[in-house]
Amino acid sequence: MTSAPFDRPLPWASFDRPLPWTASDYLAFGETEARVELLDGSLWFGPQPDDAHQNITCNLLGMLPPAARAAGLRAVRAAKLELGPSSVALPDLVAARACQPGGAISAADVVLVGEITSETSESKDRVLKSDLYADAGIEWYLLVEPAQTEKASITARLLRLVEDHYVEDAAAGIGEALKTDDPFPFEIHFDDLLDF
Amino acid sequence: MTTCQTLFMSRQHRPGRWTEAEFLALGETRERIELIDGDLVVSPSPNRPHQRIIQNLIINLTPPVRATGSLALFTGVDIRLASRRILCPDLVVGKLSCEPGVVDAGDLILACEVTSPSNASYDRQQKAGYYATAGIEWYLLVEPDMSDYQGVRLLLYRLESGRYVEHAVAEPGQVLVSDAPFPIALVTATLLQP
Repeated sequence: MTSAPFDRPLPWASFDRPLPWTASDYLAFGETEARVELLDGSLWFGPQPDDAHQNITCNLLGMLPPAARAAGLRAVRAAKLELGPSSVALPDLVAARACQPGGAISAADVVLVGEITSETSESKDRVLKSDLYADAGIEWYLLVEPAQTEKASITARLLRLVEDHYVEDAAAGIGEALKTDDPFPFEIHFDDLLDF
Repeated sequence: MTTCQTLFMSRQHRPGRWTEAEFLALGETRERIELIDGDLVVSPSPNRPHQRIIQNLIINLTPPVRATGSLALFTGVDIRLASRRILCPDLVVGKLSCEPGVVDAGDLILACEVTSPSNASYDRQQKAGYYATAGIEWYLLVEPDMSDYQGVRLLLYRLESGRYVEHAVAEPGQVLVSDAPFPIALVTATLLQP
């Protein structure tokens, strides 16, 4: 591997195993400096989420965990989600039947996965990850889509797995609330999501 | 400030998106490395059946491509599809010279991907979407039977209103025939020959 003339560690230099990597290889690496996901056998080295993305995540995490807990579930941020033999994602949010602290969550335990799209992630969130979550049989996918150009706009879509793909079950935008009874009763108020 | 926000702010290492300059400075690498909207995507180098299919595609497609007098076929070329989006398709056909460097998507008329056991969804959906958005008129998807590599399915897509629609399909044992984007007659059975 050639060294690059810029001040950034080559992120996969620490992954000193030949490709292809499996989910168990990936999980054996433990904590890594870079944010990296294993999607369909490829390693995706992405930036850490920006401030707006993190603030929205924080606000969402103020709303969902109590509702999940009331239904006997746990909602957590950025857990390692094992989707299959060649995929481990780091979704922004998962609601699961069981969470091991520090361990990977198995797709079989997950009832809902949530992503907040950003300029870098929107194509992979809408297409590739949507496919992988569907293939792993995760029944609900919450896609929160802030407008990339202005802060004052945001929409969310709650998607339900029908056969092998997601269809829209509910959608809402700024000034509204997204309310649902499934997979557990919760409400997302968009004005509160952008309150930071 | 919530605990959640404090945790985020305490994070030391917060690299931003990868730039094209950083991507290009990586130079030659063993793995396939692509830049997708600021993410660096590192994929396994192809396995042997996959390499054999690519070699046989080159052997079969080079004569009709050359016969056009204006097109050339390449493998392992970085294609710039959009800002911070540089992919390396398995094969490309276009008005290409032998000069090194990244090629603009506008110079291509066809991109081709051979699906791998690990990357099938990436090739079928995600990459097809990127190529369509970049306006590459033809997409050839080669799908080997992953279980035993005894058969290959070929799908030739044509861009229509920004989406790929099936133009010709050959199931294992059949021949893919098309007059466009150049005369193609690909015998699926020959693609796995040693």
